[in-house]
Amino acid sequence: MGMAAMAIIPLLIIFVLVALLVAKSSIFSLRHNLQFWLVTGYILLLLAAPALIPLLPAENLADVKMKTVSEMDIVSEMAGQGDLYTQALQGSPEQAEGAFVLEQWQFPCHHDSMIEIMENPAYKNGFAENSVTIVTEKKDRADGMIEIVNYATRTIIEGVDFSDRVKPDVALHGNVLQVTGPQRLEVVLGMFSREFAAAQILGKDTAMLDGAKSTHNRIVPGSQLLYLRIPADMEVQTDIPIAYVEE
Amino acid sequence: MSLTETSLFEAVRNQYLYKLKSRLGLFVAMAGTQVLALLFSMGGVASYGRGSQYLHISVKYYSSDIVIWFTILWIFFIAAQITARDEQNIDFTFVSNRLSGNLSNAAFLVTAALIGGITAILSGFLLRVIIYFKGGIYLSSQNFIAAPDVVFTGMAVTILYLLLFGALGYFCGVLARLSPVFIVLLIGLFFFGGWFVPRSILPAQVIVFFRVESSLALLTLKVMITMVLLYACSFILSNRLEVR
Repeated sequence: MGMAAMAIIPLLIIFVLVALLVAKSSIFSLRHNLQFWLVTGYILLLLAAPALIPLLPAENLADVKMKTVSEMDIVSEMAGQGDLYTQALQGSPEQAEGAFVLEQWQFPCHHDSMIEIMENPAYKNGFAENSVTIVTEKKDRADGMIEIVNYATRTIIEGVDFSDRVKPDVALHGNVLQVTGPQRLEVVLGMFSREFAAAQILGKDTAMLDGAKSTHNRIVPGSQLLYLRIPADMEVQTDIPIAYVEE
Repeated sequence: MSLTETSLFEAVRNQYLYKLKSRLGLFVAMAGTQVLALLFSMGGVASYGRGSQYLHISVKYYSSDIVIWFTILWIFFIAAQITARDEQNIDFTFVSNRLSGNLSNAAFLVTAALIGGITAILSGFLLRVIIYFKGGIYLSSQNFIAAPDVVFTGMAVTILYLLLFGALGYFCGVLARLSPVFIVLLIGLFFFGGWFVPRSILPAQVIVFFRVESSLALLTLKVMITMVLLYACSFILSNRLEVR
């Protein structure tokens, strides 16, 4: 109802103004004056804007086209930070608070007893891509299959879930496993806040309460790791730091 | 001798309508000021940044605060300007006296405050449309469609502040016409008042008197009383100006 009123009222005002313009009245004998048309055109533009806004596709707004997270889930994700690596070292990353599988790969390697893990030094604008934490577990059987699971906890910004935008990549070339860390995600989030005039009477937006402290609580950085499960008869050779599951 | 007597109301009405037409350029200036403020607003009125290993976040807040402040500055300066000698000479083309001239000026400034307040808040909608189509950022739906109570409350408070600063500008303009010494005193009070006068009457403290008010009714009362006092002082002081 409120949205309909905000759209209809400006249209009604525009209609009344146009009707007055064509009516014969002394004050509107100004209509040949350039200044009059400039001011009228500006006011008409301002009146058209609130009528246009409800017509704009909402699908282009971040929290409509992307997944959103409730306040309770944000608190839960904040509490679970740091748990993923700890659980992975114990061989059970799936039990970490808030952990989920972002992607997984399987590579057959029947003829190789050694695998070399290299980090792809992909450069973007002169800066190396971020490395990703790797935890390795040796399976209890030599099944000739390398399994890689990308575990992650959610990356949340102002209630919007950006988790699927932060992903590493993995590729096997012969006996070289090339790992490319996630590209650093640059996010600029725009939000509209109440004008100080309205906030003086109605109070500040809930999102603006406590300023940076409120924003701090609504940003969850999220974490990533690659969990490697290699055959029992395979050895790993690498120059990058890799953690092994505790026996 | 005139066969018809002109009442004060008719004199004020005639002068008001004439001034509304002849000072249309001031509203063009208002539009230009608000467009300029909109351009400044496109960079956001506040922002916050944070980084981690995989993430760099910048949150920008948009609103029409800058437009409102620029509109307040606009009405202050036009209120001071209409007390200038050339502007006052308009009154001599009518059957008028100082009172009707001042009342018509006050009526003009009230009209300017109404138009300025409404357009300043509506510019927030134009800003939303511009930011939406500008792209390049993730735009949140929060407050994208402003609630009617927020819009109308914002308009009411903005109009009140414009009425206040319009009256203040008119008063300062009259003081400046009485003597250029007052210009120096007013500037000195604004920038260096803390050195010489009690803190309670510093301009910043006076603004706080209005800014801390969270009741619309009480804010309206404060502004109306202050406005009437400022205009009354202006009318009395302007009678001391020389006659043509």
